Amino acid sequence: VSLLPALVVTYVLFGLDLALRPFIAFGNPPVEPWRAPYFVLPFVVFIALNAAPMTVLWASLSIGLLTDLISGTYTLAGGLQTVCIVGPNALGYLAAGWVVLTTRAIMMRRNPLTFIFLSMLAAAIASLVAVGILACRQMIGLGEPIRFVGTEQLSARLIASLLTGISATVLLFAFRPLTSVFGFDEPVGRRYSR
Amino acid sequence: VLTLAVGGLLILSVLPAWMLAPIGGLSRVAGFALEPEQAAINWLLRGLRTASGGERESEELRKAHEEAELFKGKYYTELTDNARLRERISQIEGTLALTPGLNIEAKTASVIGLSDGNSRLVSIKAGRDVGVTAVTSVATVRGTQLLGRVVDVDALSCRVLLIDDQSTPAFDALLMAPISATGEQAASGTAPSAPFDALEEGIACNLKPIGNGLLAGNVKIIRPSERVAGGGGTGGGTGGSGRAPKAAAPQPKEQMVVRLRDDRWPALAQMLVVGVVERIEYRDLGHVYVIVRPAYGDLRALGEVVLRLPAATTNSRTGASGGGGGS
Repeated sequence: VSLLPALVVTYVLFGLDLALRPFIAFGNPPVEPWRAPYFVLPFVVFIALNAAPMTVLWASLSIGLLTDLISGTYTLAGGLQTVCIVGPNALGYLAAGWVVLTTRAIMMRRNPLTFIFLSMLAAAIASLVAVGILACRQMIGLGEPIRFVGTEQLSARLIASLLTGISATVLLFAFRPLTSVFGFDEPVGRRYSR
Repeated sequence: VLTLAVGGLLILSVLPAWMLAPIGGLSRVAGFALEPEQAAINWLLRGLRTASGGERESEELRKAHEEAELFKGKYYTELTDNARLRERISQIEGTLALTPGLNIEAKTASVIGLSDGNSRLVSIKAGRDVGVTAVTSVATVRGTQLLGRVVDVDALSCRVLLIDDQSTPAFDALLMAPISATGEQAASGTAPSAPFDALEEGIACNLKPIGNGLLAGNVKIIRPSERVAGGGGTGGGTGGSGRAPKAAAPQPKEQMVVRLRDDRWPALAQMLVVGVVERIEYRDLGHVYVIVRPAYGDLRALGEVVLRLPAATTNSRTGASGGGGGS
């Protein structure tokens, strides 16, 4: 994968994730955690569908790590401090990338529905892993706990995962023409098509 | 290497907060890099909302309203400070020097965006460079409506934890009837002749965020007999010295304005508007429960806030800007 275009796209998508999600989230005003589609995760899926296996895993981990740094801030139960927890999203995205990687062989990669379905699936897996890790953190209970309600987080993130289908549909049109820019080979099936 | 990275991240995930403090710096760098894009998209979206006929108010009316709110806040602050001083004068005789007139600097700052959807944090484009300090600075909307307390600050930006975030600790507040244009109390249980009465016979409550952007808590009606126990008379405009006839206890009503009055909050946040009483519930054992909605409106439409900074911080800087206001 070409690094520079990937970095630019990641930057743009993180901006959309941060700025656009509160505007399109469910509820008026929206309630945290936002029930709004993810924009970065479809890009992880796009990479996972096209790149080499090790690239997929490292890219997923790196993007997840950035997600933790950018949006992994939680308030401590005392309410006067925040903490940035690194790990839950990184591992969640890694798991999502791995799942897409292992299933891509049996998927019709050129079918738009594949990308949309895998985006929703990847978002759900990333959410499950991230919430699971945060729940474990609360259970282990080292230091002051964060304000975290597992069921609330999980339900919101799963709804967001479903809604990611919408953002994936839109992003598909942006990603398709960029396939060669990222240095991905066209899917094999094209060779046999007219 | 990947396995090691996964192991390392797993350990990082469960480390206590104090050990993760250095990562906060990295997080701020990442946030700083995204600020321009986030602010640009936010600005664009706010513009679109306004253009599509969102909340548009006459500019003059809005300014007049803001000014009135500002004066009301100052007025109430003065009144409560007076009352408190009267009641405790004997106790604080030797410590009066510790509470000189409070100097507050107000600084307008633009909103970068809402943080990340995990908690109700708002990123503001003002940091240590303009004297913002964690915990002792607060953010307001239009200078009167309390938005929240600054919980994290770096060189150029800060994060404000909203008062209705569920991790905000419970705080005390006073319920007050809104003052009508003629200066009369609009909806007080005792129908007083001046707003001073409502303050003196204030309705205290202890509010706690309950989710969905709401605050709720039990009401404690401060009866005149409880208050006068210290001996200072009711004082003020009503001429309440001596034996005033016993008035009925004031009752909470919908649309009453709720103002912060809690010593655990910085002095510069006292008497700022917390919100408006949305609902009142009468529960068992005579408990009255109020549900309050902060009146800062839709956060997504919030373009700028007014930060209230302690003067001690701002004095130490040179060339600090912003309009001040003692209270």
